[in-house]
Parts: sequence; structure tokens; C-alpha cells
Amino acid sequence: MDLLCDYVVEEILLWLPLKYLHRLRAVSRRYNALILNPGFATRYWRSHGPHLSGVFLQSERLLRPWGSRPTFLAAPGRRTSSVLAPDLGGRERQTQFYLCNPVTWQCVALPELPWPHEQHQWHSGLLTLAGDGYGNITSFQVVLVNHPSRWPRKHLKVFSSETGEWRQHESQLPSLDVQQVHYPRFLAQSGTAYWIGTGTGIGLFHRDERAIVYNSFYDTINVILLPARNRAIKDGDIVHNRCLGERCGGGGLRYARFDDSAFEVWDLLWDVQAGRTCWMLVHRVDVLELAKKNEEATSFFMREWGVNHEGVTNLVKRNDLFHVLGFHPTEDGIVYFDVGRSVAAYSMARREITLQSPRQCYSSDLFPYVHPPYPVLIPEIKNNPKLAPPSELLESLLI
Amino acid sequence: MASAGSGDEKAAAAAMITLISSDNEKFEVTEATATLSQTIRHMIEDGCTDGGVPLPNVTSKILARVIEYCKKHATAAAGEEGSSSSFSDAAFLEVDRAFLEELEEFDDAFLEVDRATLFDLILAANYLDIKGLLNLTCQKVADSVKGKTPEQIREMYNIVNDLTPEEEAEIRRETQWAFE
Repeated sequence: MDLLCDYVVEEILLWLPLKYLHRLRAVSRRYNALILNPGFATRYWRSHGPHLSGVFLQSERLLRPWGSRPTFLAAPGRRTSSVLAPDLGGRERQTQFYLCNPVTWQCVALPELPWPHEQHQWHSGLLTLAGDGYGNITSFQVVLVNHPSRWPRKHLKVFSSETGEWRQHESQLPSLDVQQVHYPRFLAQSGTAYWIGTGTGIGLFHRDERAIVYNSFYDTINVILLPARNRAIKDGDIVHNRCLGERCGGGGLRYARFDDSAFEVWDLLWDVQAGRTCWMLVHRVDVLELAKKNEEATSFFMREWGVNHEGVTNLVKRNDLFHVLGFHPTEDGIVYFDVGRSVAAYSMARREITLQSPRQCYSSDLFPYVHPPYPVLIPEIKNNPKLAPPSELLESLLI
Repeated sequence: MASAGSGDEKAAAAAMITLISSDNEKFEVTEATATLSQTIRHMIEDGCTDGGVPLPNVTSKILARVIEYCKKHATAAAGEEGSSSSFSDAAFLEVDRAFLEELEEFDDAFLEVDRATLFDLILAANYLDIKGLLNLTCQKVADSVKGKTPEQIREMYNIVNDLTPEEEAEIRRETQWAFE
């Protein structure tokens, strides 16, 4: 290797995942200098650029070491670097949470929950990061929220890397018809979770919808009204095909839904005339038209689900052909769809649906992330005896 | 004009180029094979290939391997062009996929060489500017480094550790996350 000129050695180093690249620094002065060289760093991150933002699809290999399906929870913040991967299997009825960085493969185990295992003890988790302003993360906080079927009593389980401890507190949530709750799997970038439902007592077949907005960083809860449905819900309608999130990682609220055989995107914008923020329709497309235009996605669906053209038309009427999953963390016009249990990116500008993975996966298999163009380390957990990392998990996080 | 143009292209496709290795061995290859190398492509464009192309940095042993790679991949490139312009039916795509698999098998077998040869191939691919071959060989070396400790890497590639114990300890501390 010493015979090769720097340029050729760089060509080799470009193929290494970040973790193994940085191991090479301890080989000799030459490699340490090459890897730290700003020119090489620029080349490296440029060639790995496509992996620095977007959605991460959980690989099937990941299922094996864990026995059961681990769930990923998104990490918010424009400079997201980490995700939380709780293990649902592993030890007997115990849930282990890990904080992982999908780019560097660094993985840190959180201390076990100090409470006995109970069903529905967590429904979603939120991660917030605090930085020093120079790109380093100094501390993090993880909040687990219990299952909506247990509301209005909301149990929050909060872990802070500053104390190294879990604590629990309760707070009162506004009422929401939990039967109609939309899972906030695809969490927004600002450390906020959104649960969509109808107000209790209003009834399922009402056109009005609202959402509970919970921000884990400020620990605030609000209820907001969503754009009214185009028509009252009928029996057999798929009503949960919708998603509330944030544009470009914190650039205002965005709501997308399949309703009345159309796909709509609404943004919460400042209305100059009304002097307040209003929901405004920014995109609308007829789903049948969409299905015809995107032959590849539609035929993939038909093949996977064994339906014919008539079946597709019926599914469009029931708002059940494509399902909206979430929004791209950095690209404004990209919405993720579930197409026949595969993930697809929908471009609002081109009205094109592009399948992201040929294999089947669920909405829980993917999470949005944004990584800065340099390695970011997960800060140390204070007062914590170091736990062994799950090495198999690390190996399979390869992108 | 159009027919004369395509006639010229046909003549060019059949044209042969002579490559001369550092130990003065001559290799005759088609232009399509030779132009996988950007370096040779530029020489052809500049019209300075008469009397053969001397390659003083490449031995006959390595040049033979490089030509073997280029021949296989030149056929592949020609095959791709054919498929996009004439066919798109399923049967043809099936053939295409079979060919791509064959190409992958070829690449795997091609890389079954000792380390010295692998590095010679990297140097030749870099000098001749054959992007596909450079990527293939560099990836092979990168794969051999994955998951290894610095000690193992030094031993594999005869790298002298010129770091002082203090420097090495400092780097290990900084990169501790990468060793977990």
C-alpha cells in the first residue's frame, strides 16, 4: 500500500464505511494525515452524499440478530445524527433501547428501564439533541410516550444523558378519539410528535379532524384543527390514510391525505388578508390519474396484491391504493408513499412515484434522517457503566 | 453525408491498435477495447497511435490482464447499446440480466489474484484511466481492510508504524467509537 500515491490510496479509502475509515487512522502517520486532510474529507462526504439525508430503510439482515423486529424512532433536529432502535425481543419481555448513528454505525445502549414491563408502556419515542454550536452533540434526551389507548393519562418516560437516569411523569392530554389515532411513526424533525384523531363525542363520521401536537423539547401540548374532509366519512372508508409533519425539517407544518379519491397536500401558511395562519391547499392530484401515469408503481401493487384494474379503481374510491407515510427531511417536494407494502418517493412537481425498494417493508421500517457532512459522536451518558454494544446490529446498519 | 459518416464509424470500429508493454511485448486490440482507457482514447483522438502505443509503466503480465478486462467489458458496453436501441421485450431483458450476472462472475474471478498483482492492476488502471477497473480493484482492497484492527492492516500490507506511542494513544482515544 505504501507504493501507491496518495490519490490512489484515497480511491481505496473512499470505499470504506466511516467506522473502518477512522480505524485506519491508527495505522500510521500517513493514513492519519490523509484521512484528516480537508480535501479528502470533502471527496469522501461528496461520494457518500446521497446517504446523508433521506429515509433509511431497515435492512432485512437487521431482523436476524434480534429475534424480533426492532423499531426505529426518528431523531429530530435539522442536524439529526442518530436514531433510537428499541429491541422488542432479546431478553425476556424486556425492552432495550439503543441510540444509533446510521452513518458512523456508532451505537450506545441506554440503561434498562427501571420499571417492570407492562403492555403498551410505550407507543412512540422522541429524541432531542443539544449541541455546542460547533457541530458537536453535547447531550441528548429520549422521551417515551405511552400508548394512546391509555390516554388521557399520559405517562412520559424521560431519559437524559446528563443524569444517566430514567424518570417518569404524568401529564394530562386533551381528549382525542383514540380509535382513529394516526401513528406518529414518521416523526417530525423538530422533536415533535403528532397524533391525528377526531374529538371525543363528535363521532367517527364527522368531517372535522384535529391533532395533538406534543413537543418533547419544551414539553408542550397543543391541539390544532386540520383541514376539514371533503365529505363526511362513510362506512368502509379508509380514514387513517393521512400524515402530519414538517416541511424540510422544521419549515412549517404540512398535512397530506388521501381523501375523496384525491391526494392532497396542505401547508400551514400565513394568510395576509386574514392576518393569521391558515391551512392552504398546495397540491392536489386525482389518484386514478396518478395510478395511470405511474404504471410501474401501479403494476407493482397489482402484482403484489393480486388485483386487477377494477380492483385498483375500487381501492382508489376507498382511498386505499397508496398510503402516505411521511415527508422527506430535506427535499420540499418529496412525499413517501407505501405502495403495496413497499416504500416509494412521490415527487409533487413531476407527479411521479419512484419505488425505493423492490422488497416489501412496512412504514415502521423507515425513518427520515439528516446527517452533517462529518462524523458526529453520540455524547457519553453520565453515571453509566458502559454496556457492550450490539455488534451484529452495527454490522447490519451498513448503507 | 450520413452514409459516409456511418461508413467511417464502421471502419473505426474494426480498426486495431497496438499496445506496447514496458518489456516491449506487443498486443493488438480493437479500438473499442482500447478506448475503455481514457488515456488511450485521448491519444487516438489526437492521432498519435501510429506505430503503436508505448506503455512504459505497464508490464506485459499486467497489460494482458488489463486487456482481458477491457475485452469483456467492451462487449458488455456494446451489448447495452444494442438493447436500448432495438429491444425492450422481456426475453431480451432476461438475456441482458444473464449477461450482467456473467459479467459479475467474471469480475469476481478476475480479482482472484495475489496482493502484488492487485496493486499492479490498480496502478495500471490509474495510469490508463480505466474507471471501472480502478473502482473494482480499489473496492477489493477496501473490502480486505474492513473489520480489521490497525495491527492486522499493518501486517497485511507491510506498513511501518511511525506513530509514537503517545500519538497512537491519542488517535485511539479520538476514534474509540470506531473500535466499539
